[in-house]
Amino acid sequence: MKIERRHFIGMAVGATAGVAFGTPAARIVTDVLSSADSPYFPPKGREGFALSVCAMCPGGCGVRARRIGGRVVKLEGNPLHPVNAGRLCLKGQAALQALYHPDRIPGPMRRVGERGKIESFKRVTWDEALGAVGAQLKGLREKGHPESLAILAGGTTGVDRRTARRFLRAFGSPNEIPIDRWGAAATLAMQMGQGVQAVPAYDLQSCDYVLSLGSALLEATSSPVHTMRGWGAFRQGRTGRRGKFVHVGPHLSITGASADEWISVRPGTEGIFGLGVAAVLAAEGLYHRDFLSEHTAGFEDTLDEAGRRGPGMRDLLESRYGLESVSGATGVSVHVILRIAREFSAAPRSLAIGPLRGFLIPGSLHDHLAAQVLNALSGNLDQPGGVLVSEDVPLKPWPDLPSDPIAESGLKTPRVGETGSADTPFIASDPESFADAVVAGGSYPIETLFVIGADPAFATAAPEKFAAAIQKIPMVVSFAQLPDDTSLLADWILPQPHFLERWDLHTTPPGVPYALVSLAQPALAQPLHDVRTVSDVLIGLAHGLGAPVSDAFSPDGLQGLLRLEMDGIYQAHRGAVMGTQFDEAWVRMMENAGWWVPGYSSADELWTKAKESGGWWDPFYDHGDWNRVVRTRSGQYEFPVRALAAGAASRQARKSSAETGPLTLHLFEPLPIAGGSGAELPFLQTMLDPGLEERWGTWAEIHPETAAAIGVGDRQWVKVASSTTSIIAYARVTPRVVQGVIAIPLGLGKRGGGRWAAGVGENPLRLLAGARDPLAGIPDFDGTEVTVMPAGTRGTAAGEERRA
Amino acid sequence: MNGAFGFLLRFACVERERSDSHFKITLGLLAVSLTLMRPSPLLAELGDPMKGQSLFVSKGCVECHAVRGAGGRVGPDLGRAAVKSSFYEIASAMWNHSLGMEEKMREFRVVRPRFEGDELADLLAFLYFLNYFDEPGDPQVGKVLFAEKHCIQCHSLGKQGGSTGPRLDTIPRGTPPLRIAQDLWNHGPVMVPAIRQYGFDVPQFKGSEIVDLFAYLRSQGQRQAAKDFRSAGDPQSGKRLFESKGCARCHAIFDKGVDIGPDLGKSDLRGSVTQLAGRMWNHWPAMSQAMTTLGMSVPTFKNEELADVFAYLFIARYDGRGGNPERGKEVYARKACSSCHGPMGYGGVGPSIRSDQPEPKERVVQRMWNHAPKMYKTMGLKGIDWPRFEPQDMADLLAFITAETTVKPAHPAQQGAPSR
Repeated sequence: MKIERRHFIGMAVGATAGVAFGTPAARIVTDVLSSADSPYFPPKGREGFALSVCAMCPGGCGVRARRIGGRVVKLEGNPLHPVNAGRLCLKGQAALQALYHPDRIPGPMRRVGERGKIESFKRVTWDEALGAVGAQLKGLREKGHPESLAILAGGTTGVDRRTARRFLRAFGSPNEIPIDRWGAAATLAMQMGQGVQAVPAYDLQSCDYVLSLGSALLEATSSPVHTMRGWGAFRQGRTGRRGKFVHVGPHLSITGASADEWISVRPGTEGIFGLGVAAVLAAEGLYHRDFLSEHTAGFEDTLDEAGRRGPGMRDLLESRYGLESVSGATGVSVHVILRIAREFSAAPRSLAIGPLRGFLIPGSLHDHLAAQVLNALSGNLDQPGGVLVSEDVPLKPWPDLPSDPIAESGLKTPRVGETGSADTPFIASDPESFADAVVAGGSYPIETLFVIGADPAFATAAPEKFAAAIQKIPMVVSFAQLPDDTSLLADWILPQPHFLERWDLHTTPPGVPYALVSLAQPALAQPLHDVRTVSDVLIGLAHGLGAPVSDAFSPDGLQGLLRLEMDGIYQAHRGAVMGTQFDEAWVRMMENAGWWVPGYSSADELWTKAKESGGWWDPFYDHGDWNRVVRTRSGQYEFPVRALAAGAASRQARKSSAETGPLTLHLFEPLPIAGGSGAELPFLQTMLDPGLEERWGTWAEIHPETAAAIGVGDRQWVKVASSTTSIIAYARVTPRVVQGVIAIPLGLGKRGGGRWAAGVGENPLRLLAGARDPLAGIPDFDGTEVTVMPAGTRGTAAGEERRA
Repeated sequence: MNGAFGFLLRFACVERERSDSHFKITLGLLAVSLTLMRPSPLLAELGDPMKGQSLFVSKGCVECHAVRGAGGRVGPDLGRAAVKSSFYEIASAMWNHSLGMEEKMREFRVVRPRFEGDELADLLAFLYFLNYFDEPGDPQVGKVLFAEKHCIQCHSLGKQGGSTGPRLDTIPRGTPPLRIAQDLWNHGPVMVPAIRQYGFDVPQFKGSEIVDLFAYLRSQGQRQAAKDFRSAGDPQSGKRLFESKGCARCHAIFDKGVDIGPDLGKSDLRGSVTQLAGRMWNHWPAMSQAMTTLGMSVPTFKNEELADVFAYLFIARYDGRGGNPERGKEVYARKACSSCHGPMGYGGVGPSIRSDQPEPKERVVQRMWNHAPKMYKTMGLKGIDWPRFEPQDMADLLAFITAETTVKPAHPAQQGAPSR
């Protein structure tokens, strides 16, 4: 090999990086340099830029890709994009490594050998792959059982989800299994209290006091950069007005470490603490009386038509959440509870945030309800600095589906793994219940499964169960970029483009209050591999199936779909294409006054300007639009008295168990690998936890006194065992966690994911025993009891090698 | 087609096509009509406010100036400073602050913006149109006014209010203020007698009271149906309506027309279109009486007609009364312009201020602006004070500069002036 000057410079950079990041980083650089399409040597050619949307998490940040010649060399935040305003988090910065990952799936592949190994897959053509999948689908409809198709979908807010939903409905199956966990419990709380199915959007930048009941606000919120911008404004963006942040939880996470005050509580008692604060507000009259009387129901006792008394929220708080009782449950002194309650009520705009714990961990519904009660008492529902509800995005609806008896018959069948019950009426189905039903052989078999934007064999509360379920389904098709755990078990892998290789139209990320549409454009003239988007594949399959399924999609393909949806934006007569902060303020002020100044005079002009700016949005949020944000029967926020009364028993029970022998497992999601993705990229593996300097492996945080009691030392390998299985982790003895708890990060321990993820660390989700939140009915990621002991063995070989 | 005219027409266009299946045809016809229509002299020189908005950011104005709170705080807030309701008021204010701005920019090490092509016209159009729109009203103040003005006696909002008049909580939240004003106006023949029957005075609106009242009404409405109509009016249609509705039979604009009613060019009629609507309402009792005397019926408005009329009135105020070249010549001399630019403006120490071609006044102001840095130095050396202009001075001066003259320029050397 001829060594040229630019190669030499590249290696010098690699060596410097090796010094900076330690030996593992040097090895990574060597690995990357040895790959055929290394992005580390300066390319030559003309410079260009393209606007796109980061898909490394659901956050929906606008990005600006710098391209030289045929290679993307840098990603930056799009300064006009309202979600991130030019900023980009570490995951977004690492997205180029995903683009040029040497283990990307090069083209469609069919499994010809045993499951679990990439070597068992054989490269095929798209015609062959789509022919086989299409024939299978045709067979299902010919047999009159379209319901035997299931689609398990996660991922971003792009068009693929909408295409998949439409495809499934046109095909005739009710089995759309969402895998998105983020905000699931918070959404339920909103549904119970306000009657709207929406993730709460917190207006951080306008509030003065935040009480976090175990949230991972600065780690793994749905839109991390948007949240951090709000955080910046909350702390430093207002002259002479710095917000106070109090974090309640058993683990001093990044969020806790950034707080003004960390109140360490026993695991699972964050909501009890919140209700204790609420009880003080109620007892001392420190609540917003006007708001309660105008916009809430159920605070005071009620009488039904027969004259029977129904206890109100005040009664529940007085009877069950007295100071002594809450102090005993949480381990927090009475004085602290009183002080926090008075601070909360004294601040001009106070906000309680429920346990939004990460992309995978939804948090407890009980605790989300507790946060909502506090927000109602302080009168900040749908107020500046309070809890907002995202505005609807006016995309043009797709045309009505054609009439089809086969599809109508299939859609009438119940979903596989339906979990809704009288107690948990809001949950339709989830991947765990779906896997249970498939393994157990439910009411009818699933013959074909599409897995889109998800890795359920790794990132669910029952990964092993899902792996077993896959083996019972005759055809499993995985849509993926890398050979992840699910792909390796599938029958077909249909490779997906990186977000810089495709068109897409993303809607508002969860937790962002404004209506917005982000337009993603390809940064590369051609994808690096033989890939097709989910939408292209499904539209192709639909057309292959013939009418009436094919009539569900226009022949214009993906771009035609996007243009159609954007027409709705044009016809909405609101908002503006993304612009500067001045443009934002101007549009907001005008709309607030009842005016709208269109920046475009035709749908084509809107499309052109959206391409130039990154998209469209409506910065005006109409506070106090009660008809939109409260849709309960009473038309008012309804205090969830009965649900909280029912949930109180379970929370108390968890508290007592933490004091006995086993430790309570507390899972958390560090931002680099939040949501179960990120471990595939070495840049992210090197910065898993800057505080403890942990990288390339799974560690377990234990309080010093707990560690002493079980005979575990710092930096010692330990075995963590639950009733289902055990894992090996690297013990870190630290006061960052309360006694009786072991905190372990999620996101490592993949079997697939490429060379940098496979075999590195352990997957603690395997420790979960299948418990479900007693109120929500969704899997409970908290409260698993584990035993911890020094391990006779060391960590996994790959992790050991990297760590060394 | 000039930008500002298109700006308002765009409102109308976007509004009126709505769900019209013949949208493309409508748009096409509109484009043709825009091309063929000869713009009125009043409209011919207006810039494009949308481009002006972009220039306000890209030229760095926003770094020092805010518009109703959005932007820098070094200079005055241009959306809240004293209302500028003609081109000459804006241009003179901009020129007068030039010296102070130069000093501030030096202090902050900011490069002074230069303008090319139609840029200054666009920027001035943006600044002019700031006055068209209202700041958001305060619903809390509006709630108080709703009771104080006795609206609550007849109209209900939510669970409160009388039932004599129609319910007002059916007004969609996004309704533009002018649409509410139009409904109020049309309601006058019924409402005014009813108010008097109750023994109340017909409500009068001062300042931004009507804006606050409308904000309160809108805040109580449904959001879902709010996005339907937001037209800001079509000035061409407004001009026709001004004639056909009989307004021109009583009202003059800058002394042009009949003077039975107030001259609508009067400075005390300035302000946003909603405030103008408030004054129009205040005028209702006297006007209806006068019209009855003249044998006319009080006009009513439908669809976007009131918005169109106000768009016409607003555009008509852009040029104000215009300037007088003779007075401009006097201003030219009084402000010592002639000491550098020659007695008739064909150059001297300074360059000629006249153009070979007919030139819009916006272009003249743009040349003046771009020339200002050199003026500072020269005038400083000569000990001449920076000339400041009242709006009428500016109008007259520009009329003088743009007027044709028969006086031929003498060569500077023949005038004994030093060569430049």
